[in-house]
Order: sequence, then structure tokens, then C-alpha cells
Amino acid sequence: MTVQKAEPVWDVVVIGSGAAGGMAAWNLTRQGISVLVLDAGERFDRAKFWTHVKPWQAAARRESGQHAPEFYLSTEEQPYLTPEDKPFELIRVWGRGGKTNVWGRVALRYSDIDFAGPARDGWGVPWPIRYQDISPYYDKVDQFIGVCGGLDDQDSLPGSKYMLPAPAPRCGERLLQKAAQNVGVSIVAGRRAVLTKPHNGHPACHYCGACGSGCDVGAFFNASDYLIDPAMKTGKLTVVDNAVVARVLVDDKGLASGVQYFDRKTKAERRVKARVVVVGASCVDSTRILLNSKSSAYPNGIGNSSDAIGRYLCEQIRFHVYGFMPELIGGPVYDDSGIGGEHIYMPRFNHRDGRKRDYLRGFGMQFWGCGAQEGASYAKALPGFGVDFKKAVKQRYPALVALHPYGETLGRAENRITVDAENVDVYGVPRLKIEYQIGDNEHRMAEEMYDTAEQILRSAKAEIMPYERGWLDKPGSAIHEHGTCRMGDDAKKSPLNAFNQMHDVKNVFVVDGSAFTTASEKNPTLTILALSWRATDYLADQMKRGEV
Amino acid sequence: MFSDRPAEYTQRVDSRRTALIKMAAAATSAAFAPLLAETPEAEHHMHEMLEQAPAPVAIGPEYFNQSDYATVSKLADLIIPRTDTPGAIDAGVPHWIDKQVAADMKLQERFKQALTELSEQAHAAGGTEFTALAEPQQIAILEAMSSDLSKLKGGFFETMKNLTIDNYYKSEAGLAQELGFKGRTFRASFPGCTHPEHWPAHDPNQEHA
Repeated sequence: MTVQKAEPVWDVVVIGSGAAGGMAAWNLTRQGISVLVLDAGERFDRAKFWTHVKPWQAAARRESGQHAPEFYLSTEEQPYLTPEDKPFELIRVWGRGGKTNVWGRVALRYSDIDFAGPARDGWGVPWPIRYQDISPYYDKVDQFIGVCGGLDDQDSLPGSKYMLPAPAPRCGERLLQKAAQNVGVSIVAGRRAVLTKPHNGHPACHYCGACGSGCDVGAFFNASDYLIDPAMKTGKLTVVDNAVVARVLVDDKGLASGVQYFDRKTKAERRVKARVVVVGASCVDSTRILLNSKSSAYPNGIGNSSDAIGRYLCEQIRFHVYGFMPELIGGPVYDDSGIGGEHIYMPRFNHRDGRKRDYLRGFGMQFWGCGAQEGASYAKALPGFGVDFKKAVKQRYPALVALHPYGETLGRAENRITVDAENVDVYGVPRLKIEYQIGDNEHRMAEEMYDTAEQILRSAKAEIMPYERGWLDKPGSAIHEHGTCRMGDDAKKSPLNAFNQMHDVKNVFVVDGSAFTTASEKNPTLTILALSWRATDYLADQMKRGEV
Repeated sequence: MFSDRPAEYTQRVDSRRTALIKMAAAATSAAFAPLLAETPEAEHHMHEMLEQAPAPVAIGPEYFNQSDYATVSKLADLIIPRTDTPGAIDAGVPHWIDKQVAADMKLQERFKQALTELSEQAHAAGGTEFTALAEPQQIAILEAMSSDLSKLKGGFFETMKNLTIDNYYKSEAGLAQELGFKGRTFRASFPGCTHPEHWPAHDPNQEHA
């Protein structure tokens, strides 16, 4: 194995090019700072997406040996370890823009109820910031990437003046809004990072509904088109593709001096030097990198004197309940594609009821999959076969509604990511190990989540599809990992300060979901973008002052 | 549908398998080659090209022998028959099930056992093969399989029904012609629900695109 030491010393090396790393690269380069981005994959070519390939065309294409772009990292290439009785589904996208190429586009602000949560109920450590600290950055992010949504803020769902128009709800979504309203539950317009009109040079959505195949025109926020491309135009950005980062390197003063990575194609080791390292490789991979960055100064991983790195892993709980709206059974079929996924959202309300709950924190609800879908899996739950069965499937096709409650999970020290020196990857680097279990608080919350879903469907007089009450989706399936390198004012309990800077190592910043002090019930990407923007504003300022 | 995971995620595994399948498809792949079109006109054009692409060359089943393939075809036909719209056979469901079974050892075991049992039942019912029975007799056998709840969950009937559903409702016949799916196209606007009787008394958001 050859060791090549690169010549230049970069102002900043950013690990990752998704929401977190992409934002850091964009915000630093536009302020004149030279940045090297290490991306674990390559750019996904929009011209090769299968966005407008219908399912039957896709089947024929596959039969003729073609395949759709492979966004998702194969576990054959990068296996990770889990105990046999604790499965965790880790979903990763290595490549330019990361998971934002195919993300769910739900763009919700955390509210002050979320930021105040741990200080209020005493579980975990307090956030070092409150809503007022981050709200100017939410405003900037909304304006920059384009978020559609309603003028329907709630205390648990703050909004902005900068929303693009919300797409009109589908029939099933309207009926859900109505049914929920009749039982005192409010369902508002969804907030999604989809362009319902052209915005900042990006074209508007054309309502094909195939966002999960990658958008062929870039009409929803993805870090590659929206952040890395403009950063490239500053002349201050260099991107290295296929750079799988193994470790942050340290000098004899205990400061970060650069990054060690391996070329994904050739497996060759490389090292780059930098004055500052910004880690934004997504929660789990960033944690792997930090824990593998062991040295005499940091025997259990860089910046980990708190022993909190890798611990307090949070992933939201969720489940899925389906029904058919009586008004729509046997009715006309529309093209319900819309902006792909739901046009509505149920904000958290459980803090308002005045009742004493037997669990902490809260839940919201999403509704992707209402109306005519690209398939009819629900048919598997309908009895019988033959002509009557075929008719029953057809009649229900326009009437399907889907309820997906998401609940916050509490951070627990034993829910943790470690690296296993006995098990190394293809580069000889210790592999990830994830030990994670859903706790009692979450199971108690799930009871009220089920109550709420049932209440809405009963109010709608819906035909409810069979489900197993209490069932929760596999941990990891929400793809919302947080908390393993959390922010906090107390350096003994949190690796990061209020600006995502390591308490122990002042030239290392961690800007992805791992930095979240708590998880909330909300999708994290908008908050990742706002936190990364805020952290790198602080970093740029510190660099100008010569503090970092 | 039961996940917000894009279809490619679950289909990825299939794509690897099908890539290995030798198909006399050199001619068809050229027709599929034009990649994504970014204008409605181009999309329409591409769609037409796909429509005109020759059907997969019938080279017979890859896994099943002719007799078993006939039985599987009949089962699919009984589950989703042709009515005034196409049925499972019209949609090529047996073809896709054959490919899926060919690539899956567990499915092979399951089909081997179930087809043997079906054959025995056919003999007991006085026939030579399941496919040789009169349709009412075939339906009676399927009804016995589908009504025995203790055997239904995880049983062969469920497997066969689910495979038929998956393949039929993603085919053009099942998804577009039978159900009326109109997605993955270009639209200038999205009207949403235009039926005030479906709306809540109070709309929290009055502004829509």
C-alpha cells in the first residue's frame, strides 16, 4: 500500500456532499474559503434516471439487462454489524448529494417545543440553542432551496413568510383533513422541499410523482445541483470522488491536521492536509469516522472525552395504517401523483390536551401513498380470488389512504454505534456496529399514535385494512438517525458546542444529524441545512479572526 | 407502496438477477436505449418507441417444465381472470413468475411441493392433471386452499396470489388498463381534489398552487 501525501493544505476539508457537507461547502466557498470535499461516490447522472419509466417499462428494461441508477450503498460492499436480536436497517447513499437525491422532501422546522424538550422533561442534555437562534437560518434555507407549504403555522410547527404555494390536496387527503377536523385533530398543508414554481434557477415540479427514482429536472432540493454546483462556480471548491474517509488525523498539539481516506476504486490510501475538518458524512458514517480517529491524544476517538460519541443514537418510531375512503370506493381514478408523497401533515398536538401522559415527547403524522398508486399491494390483504376479487381491487384503487405516524425516541446511552477492530472493511478499517432497541417510552407513545390513527379513520368511516396494533417498523427504516455526537454546553456530556464545534478539538466541526441533541418527531433535513449553515457562518468568522 | 422507499430499492436485487438472464433481446434493447426525455414531446415520442418495441421473444419458460408452467398459468388465471379487461395471462404474469422462481431457491422448493400436491388432488378429483380438471373443480380446490385459514398465512396459495398481484398490477395491462394509473408523466399543473363535499369545513391553508 502506497502512502501519498498531497501537497496543498486546504483551508477546510469537508467530509460528505449531502445536505450537511454540501451546505458547509457552499457556505464556506462563497465566503472565499478554499474547500476540498471528499465524497464517497460519484455524481448521479440525471440523464440516466428512470424518472419517466413506467413500472412495466422498467421490468422490460431490466429483463433486457439494463438497470436503474444504484443510489443505495450495497451492504455487500460495506457490511455493518448488528446483534442478532437487534436488527437495524441502515440505508446509505454514497455519491454526490448523498441521500438528498432520493429523500422524502419533507421540510419541517423544529419548534421551540422540540428545542426545549430535554430541559423541560429532564431526559438527556439540554439543547445549547433555542428556536430563536436557528430561525433566521431556517428563513435563509427556505428562501434558498424553496419549500412549499401552507400559511397554517402552529406552536409545534413554525413556518416562514417564504413558502412556495402548497400543492392542492388529493381527494383522500381532503377527506382525511375533514375526518380529523371532526375529532379535533388538525391536518395542515405538507411542507416539502419541492418547487411548485420555478425558483432560483431551478425548474418547477411537473407532477410526475416519481421523485424516488431521482428527479430528472432537479425540481426538488438535492445537494448536488443546489449546493455543490454553485460552490464549484466560485472556483474555491474541489471535489474528490470515490473518497471513502477512514479517519480524521491529528497533530502533536491535538488539533486536526487532515483526513485519511481510501480510493473506492483502487483501494489506495490517501491523506490530505487541512486547517479545519468539517464532518458531514451523515450520522452513522460520521460517527464511524470519529470513533476510528484514535490517537494517543484521543484513545477512544477524536473529541470523545465525554464518551458520548456513538451513544444516544435516536431513530424515529413509525408504523403504517391503511384504509379506503367510502366516498371514493368505485369512483373515478385520477392521476394522484402530485409532487410525489403527501400534500398534508399532522403536526404534533399531544402537548396541548392537558392530560397527563405516561410518556415523554410527541409524534406527528405523514400520509404518503394516498390515492392512485403505482401498484396495488393492498390487494394482498383482500380475501378471495377471481372475478369478485379483481373487482374489489379495482374499486378500492382510487380510495386508498395511508397514515404514517412518526414518534420521537429518547436518547439512551446503550443505543450506540461502535467500531469493531476485530471486523475490518475492505480497506482494513474497523467496521460499524449498531446496537439499537426501541424503548418503553416509545412503546407507550405508540399506543396514543395508534389511537390517533384509528380515531381519524373511524371518523372517516373508512374501511380499515387489517393491522397488528403495537407493531413498529424496523429501527432504521425512517432513515432519520441522530444524536451520536450531540451538541450541548457541558463538555463532559456533549462532544459539540452550540456551533457544532468540538469542545475538545476546536478545528473539527460536525454538521449532520449526529449533532442533534434530541431527535424530535420531525424529519431532520431542513434542520441539518440550517445548523450546517449556522455552524459554517461561525467557522468562517472564526477563521477570519484567526481563532481557528 | 407500503414504504416510501423508491421502487428501485426493492427492485435492485431483481435487477441483478435479471441481468444474468440470457434473453434474445438485443433487438429490443436498442429500442429502450433512448434515455430520459425532458420535454412532453420527447416523452411522448419515447413512450411511442417503447410501445412499438417488439415483445420479449417467446423462448418458453426458464424454470418450469411445460406441464408445471401450464398449471402456474392456470392458477394465475383463476386468481385474476380476463374480464372486460385483461387478466393475469394477458399481462404476462406466468412469464414473470417463472423468472422469479428461477432466481429463488426457496420459491423453487415451495412450488415443487405445492405443484406435486395439486397434482395429487387433481388425481383424487378424477383428473389426470390440475389443468385437465373442469374449472369448477379447479376453483373448488383453490377455495379449499384459501379458506383454510390455518394454512393460508405463509402457505402456497398466499405465495401464488401475492406473486400474481405483484406482477399483474405492475404490468401495463394491470396497472394502466385495469386500474387506470396515469402517473410518471409531465403535467403543467396539479388540480388536486375538486370536490368541495370532500373538504373540511375549515381549510387551515387557503392558498394552493
